[in-house]
Amino acid sequence: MKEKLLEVKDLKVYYPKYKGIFKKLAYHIKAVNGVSFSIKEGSTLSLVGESGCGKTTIGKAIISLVPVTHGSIVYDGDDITNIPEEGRKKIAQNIQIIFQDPYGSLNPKMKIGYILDEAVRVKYPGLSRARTAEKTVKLLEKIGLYSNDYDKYPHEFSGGQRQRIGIARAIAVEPKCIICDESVSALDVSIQADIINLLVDLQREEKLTYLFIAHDLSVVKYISTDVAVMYLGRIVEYGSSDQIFKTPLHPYTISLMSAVPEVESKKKKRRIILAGDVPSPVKTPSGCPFHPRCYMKREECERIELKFEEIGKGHYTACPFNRGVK
Amino acid sequence: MLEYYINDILRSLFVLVIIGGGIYTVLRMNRNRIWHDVFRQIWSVPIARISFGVICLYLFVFLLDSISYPLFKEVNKKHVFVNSRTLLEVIYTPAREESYSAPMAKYQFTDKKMENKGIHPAGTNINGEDVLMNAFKGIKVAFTIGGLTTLIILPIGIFFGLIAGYFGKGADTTVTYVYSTLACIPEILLLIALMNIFGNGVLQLCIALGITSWVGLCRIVRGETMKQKNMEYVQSARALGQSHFRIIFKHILPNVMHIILITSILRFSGLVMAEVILSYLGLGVPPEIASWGIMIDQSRGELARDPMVWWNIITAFSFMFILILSVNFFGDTIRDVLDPRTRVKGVKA
Repeated sequence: MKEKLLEVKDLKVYYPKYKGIFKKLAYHIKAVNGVSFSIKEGSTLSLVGESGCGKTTIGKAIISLVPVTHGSIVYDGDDITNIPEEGRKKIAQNIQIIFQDPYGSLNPKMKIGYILDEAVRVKYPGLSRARTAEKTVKLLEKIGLYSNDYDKYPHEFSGGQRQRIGIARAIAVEPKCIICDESVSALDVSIQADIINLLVDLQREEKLTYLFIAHDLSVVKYISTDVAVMYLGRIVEYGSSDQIFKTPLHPYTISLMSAVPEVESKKKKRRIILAGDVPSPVKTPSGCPFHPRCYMKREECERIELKFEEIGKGHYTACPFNRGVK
Repeated sequence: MLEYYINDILRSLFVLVIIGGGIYTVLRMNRNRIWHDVFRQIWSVPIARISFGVICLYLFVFLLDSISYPLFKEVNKKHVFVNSRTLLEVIYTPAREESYSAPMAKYQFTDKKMENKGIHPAGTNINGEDVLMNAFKGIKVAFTIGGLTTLIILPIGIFFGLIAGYFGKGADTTVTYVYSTLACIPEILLLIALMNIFGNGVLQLCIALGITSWVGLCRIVRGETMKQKNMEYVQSARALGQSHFRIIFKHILPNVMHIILITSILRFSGLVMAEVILSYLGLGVPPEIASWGIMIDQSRGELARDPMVWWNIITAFSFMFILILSVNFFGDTIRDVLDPRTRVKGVKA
């Protein structure tokens, strides 16, 4: 087991915006603003946060779908930041992505067999057509579909089945690491459970490493070993699943946790309702970016230099004040 | 002597290959389940069936008129090339009169073989040529110009549209500038200028029309490609490490194919009309070729005569009208079936 299969160091992804006829650089949209984390082989790291906080951008930056402005991404000792065109196939064999939308992620004009054959051929180029089809059928059976689905088109499947096909395409290249980009958010709750169980089973069988991007905390709690909470392009709290869910430290995490509906608990939880919206990633607030909405706000929050401090063992928080003492 | 045979055979073969290729493509597409559904839906619309039948009739005449063999005359024990004789001329051989004759008039001026048999259903023109025959020959010109120009604009429009839409940035700017510049010039003025440069002729006309009309196709393909490239299936293909080239032609092209089909069919009727308009202006095909535009051009003076010579313009106009109407009806049906915005019954594609 490698301690750091995938490591992201001080990742920044800025989208430049140009204005005027001379295309002068007007400002940057700071989608990801200095994020570092690493994933242990065989574990699951979840990235959680509101929409627009840069979770998806991190996922896409890892496989070079968006250009990285600053920082580095290291996979198994190799730097894979902004890989050139020729290197793509090699990375594709190690890191794959499962998208959110089960309807948009399969080419509507291609048969399922063709879509999967194409993925199999990335791993095994030059394999004969019959052997490729054989592997594809095996894949279909592995993810819970049937061999006669080979000749069907994406529109002939339900959302859950399509998501399974998306998973099959990802595991067709036998990767070590899979980025699940909100892979269950678009599905019904009952089907979500199916897909998550499938993901967990696959992880056990194939020793997969997941980077699980989600905003549904109950799903995250079930699947992840580590959790990173993001706010405005930064990680505000990082720790093991237990630490984050039992002793959340950052006020943002605490307010997120308070929003998770629970079936069992009898006593009514105090809900912390955050005021306002996420500030624009163009002009991030000074000091702690969370201070305009923080319910524990102090005066110095507007000025402080943010530090990522280790509180417990492997538990990091960006808030210098709340230490969990109640 | 052999060269005349080769010339005729090559010309016939070219047309046969194009039409055969078209039929083969449709049959091939029919094997694909999605397209099979589409064809079935198109076929279920009565107006589409009728217009398809009409287009097939036109195509049949076109085919008859395109397959030709050389005709020789023996002069001093030597074979002298007279002209190319098409299958259409073999089937329908009207006599040539001295001048005008009214519709349904009997053959007046005949050689020995004809012996006054037969009538001119649509009369004859000032040169005594059978008007119906000229109209039949106009089909060939119309289809040649419509088809050949489409063949010219398809690769240009698709390629630049895909490149501009997919890569964006510099490629997009370049392509957009080029076609915006072209689109700024009024189409008819540009055509007149181009025809003045190239001179009269069918091929020249095709090239001129090709230069002016790839813009529409390119613009539509570009827009659709821009829409498609942000779909997640394209990103998945990127994540699998597929090359840009493969993504453009294997993943995106099939998804913009329906737009290309609709645009080129509807463009076809526009091209037929453009030929007529340009020939009327004296800039299209040379006057010795029988085309609908030339016929309408000839009848400018005829309408003022007493008695009025109306059959020339009416025949040419009806032939053109029926063809364009059928093509438009057919194209509209295809659009209704394929275009998601106008899709009524909902083909899942």
